[in-house]
Amino acid sequence: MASTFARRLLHLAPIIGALVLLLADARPAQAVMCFQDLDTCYYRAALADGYWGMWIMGLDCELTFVDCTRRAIIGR
Amino acid sequence: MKEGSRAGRDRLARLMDMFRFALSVVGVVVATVASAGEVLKASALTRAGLVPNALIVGRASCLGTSWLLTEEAQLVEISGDGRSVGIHQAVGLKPEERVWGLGCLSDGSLWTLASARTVARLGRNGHIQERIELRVPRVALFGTGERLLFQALPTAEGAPALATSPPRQPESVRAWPGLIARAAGTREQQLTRNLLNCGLGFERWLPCWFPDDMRFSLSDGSASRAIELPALRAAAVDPTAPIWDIALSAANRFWLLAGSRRRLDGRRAARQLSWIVEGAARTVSLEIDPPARLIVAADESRCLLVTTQGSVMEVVVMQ
Repeated sequence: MASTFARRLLHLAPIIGALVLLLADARPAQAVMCFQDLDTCYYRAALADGYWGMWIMGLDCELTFVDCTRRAIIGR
Repeated sequence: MKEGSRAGRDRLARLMDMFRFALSVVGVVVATVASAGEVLKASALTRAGLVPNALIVGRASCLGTSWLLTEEAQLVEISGDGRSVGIHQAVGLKPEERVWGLGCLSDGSLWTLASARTVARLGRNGHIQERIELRVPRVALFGTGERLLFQALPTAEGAPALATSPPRQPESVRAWPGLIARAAGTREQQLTRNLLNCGLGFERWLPCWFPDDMRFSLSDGSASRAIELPALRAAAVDPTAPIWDIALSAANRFWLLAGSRRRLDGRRAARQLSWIVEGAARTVSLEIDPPARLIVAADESRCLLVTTQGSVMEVVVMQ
């Protein structure tokens, strides 16, 4: 379990790094939060009953993630 | 005598303060490059602090008025001459709703995403007049003619990233040629790499781009072409957001705000504005101070910007 989590973190590290770089000194903590929240949300979605429940919850996770990142990247 | 001297000093200090204020507000700066004998000149049209400091999440321009929408759901109305700014608080949103995007259609109606699954029509006073529920969630919203231009989720790699539909017929979807959804190694990357933005259009033509790209797509809904911007490789330009904003002034001429590497109070902004003729070696550029948040209107002779100080700045082309 721990190694799976570590692999997941390792997997996300370059993406988090890229987004932090993208945001530079603006709100790096927020960028990290976007990914952490997504990870937590995916975990909850994986516990949902049935394929469609998981799919719908997973899509909601992604919508929340997109909302988080677009405020940092597209917002003016 | 001492009191007279103190009063004089006070008056001088006040004058100096006013002078400094005028300098910062007027923001007249030196124009650079003038390949065809043209220069750009900037001046402030309003005082600072009129445009709210909250993050701008939508922008539209139609029927002679420019509109901004902030994440605090303030609808900002900027008159065509740029001298008047009005703020209307959006009314009728549900507690869980967070607005994103703004599109103005040819009939003057204003539309936003109240949530990813709800398109809402805003009155000019900010009140929500109408709600349309969506089966497929949307994550970006703009306006073109009589149709809303949007990005739906999930995106399919290699497919057009944008599509249009009439506001009240969300299932009547047409692909919008131009930007193609990019591939990525992971789902998270695919979501972040395909975030996109669109600028202000001219007639049916609308410029759209991916934030980390140095080219943009110009499309009218049936044809499209990509326009490269090699000038954005300059050292001062932020490579993560080279295109900050674009406004077309004709089918082949546009205003370009370049993202700056320098932050202002931790906030990203644009410090260089260029007026560019596509395909010709004709570019006029200007360092802008205070930096700009975005373009609110543009034509062949001038461009209106909202600055980081919350003022409206005018940049004019001078011969």
